[in-house]
Amino acid sequence: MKKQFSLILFIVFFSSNVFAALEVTISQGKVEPTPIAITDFFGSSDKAAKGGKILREIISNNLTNSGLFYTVDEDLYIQSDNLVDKVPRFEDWKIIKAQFLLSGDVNYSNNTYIVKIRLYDVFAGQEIKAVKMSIPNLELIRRLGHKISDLVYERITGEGGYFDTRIVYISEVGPLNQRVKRLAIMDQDGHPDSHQFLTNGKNLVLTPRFAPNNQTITYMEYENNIPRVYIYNLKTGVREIVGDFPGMTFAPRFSPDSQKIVMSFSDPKTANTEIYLMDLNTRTIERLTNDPGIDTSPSFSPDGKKIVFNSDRAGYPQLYIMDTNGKNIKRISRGKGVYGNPVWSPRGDQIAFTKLTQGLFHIGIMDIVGLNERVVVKDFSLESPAWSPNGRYLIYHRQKRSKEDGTGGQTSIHFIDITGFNERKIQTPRDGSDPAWSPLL
Amino acid sequence: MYIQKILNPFNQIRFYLEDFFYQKKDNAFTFLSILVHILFLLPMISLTFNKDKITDIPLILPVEMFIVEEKTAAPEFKQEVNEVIPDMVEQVQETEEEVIEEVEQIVAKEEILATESVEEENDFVIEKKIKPEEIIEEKPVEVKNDFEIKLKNKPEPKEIIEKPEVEIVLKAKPKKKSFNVSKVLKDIEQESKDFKKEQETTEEKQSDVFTDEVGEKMTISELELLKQQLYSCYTVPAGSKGFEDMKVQVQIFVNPDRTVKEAIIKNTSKMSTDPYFRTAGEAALRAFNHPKCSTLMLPEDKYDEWNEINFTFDFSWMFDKG
Repeated sequence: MKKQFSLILFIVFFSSNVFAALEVTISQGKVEPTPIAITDFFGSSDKAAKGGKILREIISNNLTNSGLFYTVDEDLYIQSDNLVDKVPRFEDWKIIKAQFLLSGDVNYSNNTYIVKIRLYDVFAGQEIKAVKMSIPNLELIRRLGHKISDLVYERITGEGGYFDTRIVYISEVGPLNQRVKRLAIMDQDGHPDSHQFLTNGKNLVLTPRFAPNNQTITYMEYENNIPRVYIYNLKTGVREIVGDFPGMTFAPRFSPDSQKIVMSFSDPKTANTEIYLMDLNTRTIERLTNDPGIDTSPSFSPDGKKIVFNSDRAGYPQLYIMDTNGKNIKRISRGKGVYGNPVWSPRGDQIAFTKLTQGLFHIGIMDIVGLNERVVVKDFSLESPAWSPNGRYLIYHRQKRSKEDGTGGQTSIHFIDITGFNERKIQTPRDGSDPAWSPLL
Repeated sequence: MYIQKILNPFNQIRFYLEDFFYQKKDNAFTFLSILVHILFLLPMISLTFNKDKITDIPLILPVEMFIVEEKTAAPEFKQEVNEVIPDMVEQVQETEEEVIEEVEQIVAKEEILATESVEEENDFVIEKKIKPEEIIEEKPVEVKNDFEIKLKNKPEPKEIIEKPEVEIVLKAKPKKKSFNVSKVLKDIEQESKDFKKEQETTEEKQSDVFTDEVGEKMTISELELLKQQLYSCYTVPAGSKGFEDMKVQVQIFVNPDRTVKEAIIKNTSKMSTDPYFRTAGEAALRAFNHPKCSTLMLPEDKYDEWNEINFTFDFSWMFDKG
């Protein structure tokens, strides 16, 4: 029995060694945009064809601007017919190195534009997404283009899209000492057709912030030199005052459920700035910090359990995390320099911040315990980092140096991948600062 | 008393020295010389006793352990060291002969050129200079060449070349952005040329790495070549969440002609639940479908080794832990 058992053991051990498959670890690869081919979106009528052309352009621009894709030159396409109702010749697309293929068409019937799209994985030779959408008129064609871009992005990258979103920001014009600042909003791609002003420029406006789960913004407005916190509902156009606060008020920001606002304001008697939490339903205010240092720039974690903020309680501004009741305060930043403007990522795994060191502003990210700090961009003046809703990109504003005669100092809004690549300027009609990204529409 | 006894010899020496210096002053310098020499020699002699201590310091050398195959992958070296290569002598001789022949041909051509009439269509005349048979006097040689090239009927340039006032540049009309078959074909042709080049380079690489004289198992070089090929086919979905600890395992089955028969993800459960993992998995599978990796760089004679390969795609390298 023993002999038989040992023989079996020997055979099993020996055979496992003999027939073991070769093991190879791949620990490198290319980090470059994925080539995607987007065919013409054929239309059943001239109007539909026009809509199709606009759709293709929007989708192509969105995907290219993301930095994760590039659209293969249309001149190289070998197969040029409508591929919505037929299987593409994948070899023709392989030869031009397209890894994905997007095809679509637009039909107009019963006062409705119906758009069909099909997304193919060229290398695998299979369809990976097919969608049918409709819009009542071509005025919504831009939104539809963004929606399709999100679907493609989500299917290929595995993370949520960010194309069907808007950016609210402060539009600036005039010399530095007489700057006119207006609240403005636009699509995330900065398309001129989508741009509109929300305030008339009579009063100074600052720090607009989007609610994480609806189309509401909160911002500061100085009416007759009195700072007030406002809430603006973009769907209804209704604007309401959250409250008058004595002394200086800073940076209101919504909680993840959009039911509370966290902000900091200074006590006029002591001139000490602390962080407060306000319930928007009951309008009750709760003080969260109590320290002789200046506590400001609070930002909620996406689960609503923690708040990251900035404090100089240790002698110079650093980043801290606390529970939403103000307890369990821990310092997370450890590097040299002056830290500020912490913003918690919608993914929950990163915190973006600004840092002033060696005479330059840096925008960086670190994990929630302060490790793996990484600077993604640095310049003379960088401020107000804000996350895209998928936590993949940051927007911020950059200011140029001003001259002695008061000229210069232009501000512009920029976009960057958290990998530190693909930085680009978002075009605005005038100077832009203090951007905030909306959730998906 | 005892101390006095001990000190006695020293006193004697002292007395002796005093006598020596005061009574035999002539020998004082000789004595000093000997003393100085002894003082120098003593430390030198004493150093020699420490010789062993210096040389006994153990030299610690780093030793790397390698698993060595039975036979080397390096190509066989045919010539022995310091062996006289007879071919080289012949080659040198042949080369010399060729050079001589060429020189003779050139001389012959020069002679022909010198004798031929050159007034036909050329702008210049090549004249053969006849060397004087008898050297009359040693004069400085004016012309070193055997030939003199003269411009025919062309006066020396006097006028400054006038630049045209209007420069006419022919430019091709800007092409309209439309589907252009020739452009496509040209591009594809170029791509196919590039592909052929790549194939040739690959074959060269393979011939360098895959020699006849190798062991049965895949060598480190062969595995490295396979990895390098896949690195170029694998596009990493950088910046996605959770990739830090993500490892995608792909099992592939390979045909004898080194093409991928089938590629499957082993940890399939995550594919349906984790969209980030699905993205990573699909990116890994796409690498094996990439045209550049359609034929894997594997040694043909080791099919049993690579007919089935387990790949692990490890993304941890992307994250800076500093």
